[in-house]
Amino acid sequence: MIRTEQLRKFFDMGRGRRLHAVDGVTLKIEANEILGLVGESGSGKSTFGKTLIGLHERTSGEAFLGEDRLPAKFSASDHLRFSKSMQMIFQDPYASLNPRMTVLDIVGEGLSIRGERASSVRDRVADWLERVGLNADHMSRYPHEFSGGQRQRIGIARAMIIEPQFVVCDEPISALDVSVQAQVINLLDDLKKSMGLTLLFIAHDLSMVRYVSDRMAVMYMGVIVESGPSDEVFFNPLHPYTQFLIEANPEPDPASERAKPFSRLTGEISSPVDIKPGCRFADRCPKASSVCREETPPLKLVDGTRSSATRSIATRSIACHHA
Amino acid sequence: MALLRIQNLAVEFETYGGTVQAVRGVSFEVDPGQTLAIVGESGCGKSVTVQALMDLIPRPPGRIRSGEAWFEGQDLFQLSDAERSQFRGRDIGMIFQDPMTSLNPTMTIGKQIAEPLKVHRGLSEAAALQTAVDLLKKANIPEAERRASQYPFEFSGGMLQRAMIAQAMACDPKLLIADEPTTALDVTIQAQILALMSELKERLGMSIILITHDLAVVAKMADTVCVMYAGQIVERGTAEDVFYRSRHPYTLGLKQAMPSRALSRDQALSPIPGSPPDLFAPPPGCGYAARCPHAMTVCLQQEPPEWRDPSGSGHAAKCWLQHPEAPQVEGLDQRIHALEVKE
Repeated sequence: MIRTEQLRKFFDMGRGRRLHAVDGVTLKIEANEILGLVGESGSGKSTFGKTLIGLHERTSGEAFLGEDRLPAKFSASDHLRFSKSMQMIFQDPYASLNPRMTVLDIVGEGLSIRGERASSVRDRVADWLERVGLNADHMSRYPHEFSGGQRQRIGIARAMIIEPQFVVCDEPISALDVSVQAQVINLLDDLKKSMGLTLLFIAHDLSMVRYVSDRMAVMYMGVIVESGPSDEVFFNPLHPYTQFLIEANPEPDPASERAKPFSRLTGEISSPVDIKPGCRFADRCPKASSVCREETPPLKLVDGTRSSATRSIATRSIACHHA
Repeated sequence: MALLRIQNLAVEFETYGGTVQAVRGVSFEVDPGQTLAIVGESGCGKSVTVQALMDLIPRPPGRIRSGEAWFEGQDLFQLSDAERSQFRGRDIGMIFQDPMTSLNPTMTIGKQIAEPLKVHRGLSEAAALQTAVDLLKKANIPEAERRASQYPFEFSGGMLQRAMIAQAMACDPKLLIADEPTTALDVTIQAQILALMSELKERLGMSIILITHDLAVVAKMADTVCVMYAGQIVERGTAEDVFYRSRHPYTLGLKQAMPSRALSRDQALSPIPGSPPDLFAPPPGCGYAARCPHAMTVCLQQEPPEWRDPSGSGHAAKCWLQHPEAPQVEGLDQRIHALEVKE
């Protein structure tokens, strides 16, 4: 359904320096699949999602939606054409809704742009507001009249009303309270099933990504360091970075949390500017050896048939000299 | 004896739309060397509770309607503003959620850490700055000398939180209040900050009040837990009691809304329907009744009392389901001991 090959997005920082936000990401998302993309702030996961659907211009590499090659830079007509199939749900339900537009205008804009009649837009907006758990007579209100969870539902209705095949969900729940997070996740799950959607679920909450997605990819400084079926990556991480990430992810269970020592990972993710050869995690990795600092480890396939718990054919990839 | 005892705290805010009853009668204690976690969702009053304690509520529009805050034999609410500011930053340190906006962007990190040392300890500028460097080292900031002369924008989020901890620790406080200290941070950095807080707590024997919405962080850090909802504490007890023997449906609901390790893709999450009540006009009964799957008629009409475990475990819940005649609810710990109503 979605395929990228060596997708790169660099940002020019002036004086010839470039930030390698996404630095050669090759991945596939099968139809009806949820791929979870995890990583820390600055790992490039949101930039990847935005570049994929044309909100950023691609620096190099290829991206495909089904058989269609996506242009590196979307023109206005490309946006109109591809937004029929690809939509995005944003992280911040406050910043991503225009405060001066009514809910009707926000949710119905995609249809209006496509020349749909006002009365039909109104009917479909009413229908979609009900489907996302809001009320049809909310459509004359403005975003400030809604809570965070309700706003996120508006954002979901806006994306889904176009009936896309593929949706990028960029941290759709991280701004929400725990009790509301579950509401939104269940809603997305229902819509995914009823509409046959394919989702890229970008998040930093590992427990939620493990639960939500079929496969999981872990990003670090612009590259994917590990990918595979979610349960396998979560319960049996192979890359040292993934291991630290999962170890640092606390669980709501006092006995196991107290028995667990504090993570030994020191330092912080650095900005991917002036990239040196070698593994990007080498500076913080306790296993790092000289080869890690000299050669960039390729993302290679490993045998992943150990677990029987997965439904898809388990292919795991990992980029580490020591795995 | 408790280091801090809050008694019946009520805080309200005057707004154009009316009076918001942000905190509605909260009582709790913190023992020396213990970590108390106050957990709850946005708007439940957890931050306002500690802001009232630290005198950080703008008055007006805020008002402390009632309450006592006993800290080492003195009721902080009875002190003059000048006397209270003696406690703040000296005996009680505080760190905030967003280190970027809580530190002064026009002052070097070193000077900001030195400030409480000059104010409370009477140190000279030079001595205070030197101590600030030592504090940065204790907060595991590499190249502390160089870092002390930098400004907040030159620090990452994790580093800023370390700097804020260094500042809060400057006068060896007996109590550290941490208001969502890791919410803005990534999990690996969160783990580092929590480790630093635990290490300092062990070494200095201080108490911590940890405000958070994240049950996983509570599980990692807390000795005792208060669960807040709609301006009230609905359940309290040791971390084990609250997590493994939950007595309030809200606590149970929060746990079930999170994906546990055992939850598979085919099992749906159990969200809590609806949203918290409007605190302009809190409901007459239990604040949670409108969202509670087990709500009874009495829950909508009368505020539940706090039922306490008579064995002295400190486990208590403000819920009618703890009444001896209430129906059994699956997953909820009810009446294991003969419960009694608190006076």
